[in-house]
Amino acid sequence: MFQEKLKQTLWQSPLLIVMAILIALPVNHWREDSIALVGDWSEEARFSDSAGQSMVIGLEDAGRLFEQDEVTFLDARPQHQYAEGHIQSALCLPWQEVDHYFMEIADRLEPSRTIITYCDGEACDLSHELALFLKEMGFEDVRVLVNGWTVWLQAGLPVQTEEQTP
Amino acid sequence: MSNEESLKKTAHPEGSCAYHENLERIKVHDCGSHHHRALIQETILFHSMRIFLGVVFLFAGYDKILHPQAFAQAVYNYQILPDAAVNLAALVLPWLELLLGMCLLAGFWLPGATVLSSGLLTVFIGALLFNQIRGLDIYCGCFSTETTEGPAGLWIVGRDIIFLAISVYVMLIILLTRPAKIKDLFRKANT
Repeated sequence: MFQEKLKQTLWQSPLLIVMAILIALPVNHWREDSIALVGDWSEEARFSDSAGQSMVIGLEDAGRLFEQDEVTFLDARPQHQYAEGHIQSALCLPWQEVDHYFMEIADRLEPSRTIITYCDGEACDLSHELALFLKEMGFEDVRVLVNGWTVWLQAGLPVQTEEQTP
Repeated sequence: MSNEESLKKTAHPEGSCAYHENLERIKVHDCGSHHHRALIQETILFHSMRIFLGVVFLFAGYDKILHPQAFAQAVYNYQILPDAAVNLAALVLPWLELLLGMCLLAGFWLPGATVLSSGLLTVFIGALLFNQIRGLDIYCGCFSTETTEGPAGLWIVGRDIIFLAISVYVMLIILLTRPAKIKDLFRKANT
């Protein structure tokens, strides 16, 4: 009996997978919010604004704006990670509690000033979500420093912990 | 005629215990005994678990089918599949879950469905643990595509391990035995 069941498994499993593919692809093709079969997951495509324009800023540019004091950094990670260490003078704005934190820091943001959001990890989407939110709130020059905390730290640029925050 | 079959015939020549016909693993055909009650309990447990797992897979697939872009993002966040395969997986996986859910609920193609469900859950747990160990803070896209629910903690791994245990249990019963059907319980009740 076991062999008979095993035989059934061997044809049923692939058939189920084939059926799933045969349903998934046409449904995706004809639905309104379909997605590309092979997605574009490049940085530029992932961190784009609602108009499809890339919001990515390179580390060099970010560092230059930092030196010239022409930018406000926003840390989109959870508060405890911000407390452990963040880009010098960055403000804490965790994406997950954005409603709460945004009211606290809103008056410290100037609409004309460049804002750079960052979080940690190549695939981290918090900074991107936050940047989209800020654009919607009317801030014009919002950029994303991809994998910001890690690349900033590795470049040896100024950082601080919460105790040192002014 | 095998020993077993002859035993069945001689023990119940009048066929009063039809319920047992499907239960080869219990060789004692003594209706009303504690064996019999155990069989009923096993049958009920098996079908409850099968139906529960079916509902789990049905729900798991449903939300992801509604939000393909968000689920693709969730798959991408796991950082396991190559970028080119992310969207294909995000498109096909929810439908596979839905099909498995339907098979489990209907009791249809159970050998294939339970092997696949166990395999999928193993892969999910592996992916979660892999990211847990390498410290990647992903958000679980398990039941919902809402990525603000919170970090995928160990409780999600625990939950998936429970689902896997149920899936393996149903799979083993299916592959190794011939479980009684739900209607057999009623047939017995009427005789």
